Amino acid sequence: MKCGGFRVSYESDERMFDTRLPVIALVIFLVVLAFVPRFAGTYWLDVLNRIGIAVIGALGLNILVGFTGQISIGHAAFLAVGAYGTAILETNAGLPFYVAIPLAALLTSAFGLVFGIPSLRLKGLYLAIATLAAHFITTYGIIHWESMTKGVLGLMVPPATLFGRPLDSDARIFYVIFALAVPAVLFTKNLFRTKVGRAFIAIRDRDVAASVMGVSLYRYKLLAFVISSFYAGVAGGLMAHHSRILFPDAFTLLVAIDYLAMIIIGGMGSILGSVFGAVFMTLLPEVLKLTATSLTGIYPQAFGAIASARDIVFGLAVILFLTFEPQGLARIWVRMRSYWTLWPYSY
Amino acid sequence: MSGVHGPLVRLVLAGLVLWSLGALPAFAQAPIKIGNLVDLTGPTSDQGKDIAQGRIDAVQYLNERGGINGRKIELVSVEYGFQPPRAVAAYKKFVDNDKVLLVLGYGTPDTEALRPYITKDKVPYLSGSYSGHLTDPRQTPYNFPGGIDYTSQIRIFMNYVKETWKDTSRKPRVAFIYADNAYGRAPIEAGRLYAKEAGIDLVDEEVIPTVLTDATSQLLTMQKKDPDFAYINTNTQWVPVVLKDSYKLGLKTKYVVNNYGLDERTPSLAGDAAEGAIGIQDVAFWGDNVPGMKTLMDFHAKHHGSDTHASPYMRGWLWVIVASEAIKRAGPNLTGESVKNALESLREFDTWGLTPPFTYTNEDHRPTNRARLVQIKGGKITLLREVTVDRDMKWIGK
Repeated sequence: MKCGGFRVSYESDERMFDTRLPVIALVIFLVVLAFVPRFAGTYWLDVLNRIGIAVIGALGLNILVGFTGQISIGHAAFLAVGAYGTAILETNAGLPFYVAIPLAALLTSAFGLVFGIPSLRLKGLYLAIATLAAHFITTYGIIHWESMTKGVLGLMVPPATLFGRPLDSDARIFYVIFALAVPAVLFTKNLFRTKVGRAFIAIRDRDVAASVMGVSLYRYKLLAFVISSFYAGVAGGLMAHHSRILFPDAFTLLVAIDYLAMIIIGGMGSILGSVFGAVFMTLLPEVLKLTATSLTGIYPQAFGAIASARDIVFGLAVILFLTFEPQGLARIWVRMRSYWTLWPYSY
Repeated sequence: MSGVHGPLVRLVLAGLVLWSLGALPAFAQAPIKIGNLVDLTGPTSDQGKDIAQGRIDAVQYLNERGGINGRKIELVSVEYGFQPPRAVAAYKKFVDNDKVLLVLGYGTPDTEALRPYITKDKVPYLSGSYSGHLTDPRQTPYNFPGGIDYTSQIRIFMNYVKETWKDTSRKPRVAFIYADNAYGRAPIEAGRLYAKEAGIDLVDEEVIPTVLTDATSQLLTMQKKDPDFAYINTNTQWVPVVLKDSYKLGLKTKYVVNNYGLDERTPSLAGDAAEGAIGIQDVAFWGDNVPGMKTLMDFHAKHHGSDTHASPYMRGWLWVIVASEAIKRAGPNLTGESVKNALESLREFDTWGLTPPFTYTNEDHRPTNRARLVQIKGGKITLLREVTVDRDMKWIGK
């Protein structure tokens, strides 16, 4: 009887899914997801949409940080370029959203390419500081290039239209977001079964060794930045259509930190981890907010204390994760799954 | 047969009657939900803490007196850190999840961002933002700024400059210093136009960051233009930075500050640098001699007498008072539209004397055209004079 990871050919080793069960589960999950807008209210759809966007953004960051080992805190800037790029291409050039989002994502890639250049010389904290510069340059540009971005006053984005129907509700934009989030996950999964993906991992594990083996550091480091910022560009473009108003405040450094927290909590170098992290980091503030709101219903006078306790709980959750499960939610998931599949003979 | 069933039927009937008796008041007492959006952790928390406390206290006060038309009020509170995206999420939660009747909104960036949603959802939105962009019911029928709009305030500033200017050899020179966000910028465009109209030289504009740690470089640039007066449009916790840096540099410019920038805390925050600064006051200060103040102070002393509050606390009460009056007038049929119409029926409505009387009409959502000018003298806030600015329809929505 075959048991565990029993692989006898390269083909089976390369398979995306070991058994049929996850495929079925995935299909059921997607079908259920397709019917969610029929039942969910605007609020929960809004949360789901933000999760979908965060999944794409987190995947992009995980490709760069988790898989290639190039630390970046410029992710909020890349999101901003994607978002503003989409909005400006649509309002000023009159492009439909399905052209504007890919174009803006390409633009973001070009941006990522430029700000990825320091990675050829810098590593670790030094690279982080270099990407920080990207962040500040971008936000400065957004605030001060008022003729295009409307600066701090905020840029209104008209609803996208598809087949003459405006995508003006959370339910309609939901399908657009998930029509991009699902392929994004699959593409990433595939990426790491190719030469490019393996090169990324080799660079992460030991860049000198990788270059000795013939991996061009120059090409692949920059490629990691390009791919990563393409994802961020798509996520940004979706943000523009989801919130329909863009502010420089929506892309603060905290957003970049949030995304880093997503992939750390979810699991660095794990695709499932990016998804889990995105879900967790989007849901946690909402759950805390709902708790805070219901608690203030009972103790209205304690609103101030409860509202600030929210931030403390948030910080605490991150610290506890880092301490007790550095490999993140993805690792917990794997442990849980193997416990049940191997039960009662878990060895 | 009936002999057997009779008592049972009667029992059931009695039960039904009792149940309906119990159920009817319960139905009538379903609370009225009001959204409460505040910033407690962001750059305007100097206002938000007291505003939140004021709203919570006012609602508790009303509930202790039986609520509105026999129904209790329930505040659904969300803290959003002055970040517009979080306010949009909170708004969606208010409208969709909590089905609030009305929202007590907060800052200008978020309120202006929400305009299209508010108009579409028909949710009366009484905001802490007094932006002039919210005053035109033809464009924003459900937005109600909760005080004298910023555009009227900047006009008050320039009227004051004109009145006090005695030198006939030249026009007075003014400068605008404003925060780099939608709140700071809200009245600037109108201010430029009004300066031209009033024959005042607008010589300089300085943009300061929302969170301000140092204004020296901006003030040095301003010094070269040598304005006689400068109008500061930012928050109470950041205005002292400007005043102190100006004091340090020895500038001669006289400062006038808008309603959110100067209150009873300013003298202790800015010390000597605050001397002579003028503020436009929209709402009563703590302890002012106005009719409603005793109620507020008694309530405060009874429930949390140990802490202190400034004018934003009065604003919290004010907006609940205005909202509750509208809900009372809207009667039993409570919808966004009926509450909006009720708000627009307010004529010279007495806000317990906390502000000049409020009037909203279906043509003009500027609640009042009156304010007070106060000045800091000898470390104390003193009343300078009451001012009125005409309700010129030209400035509506600007």
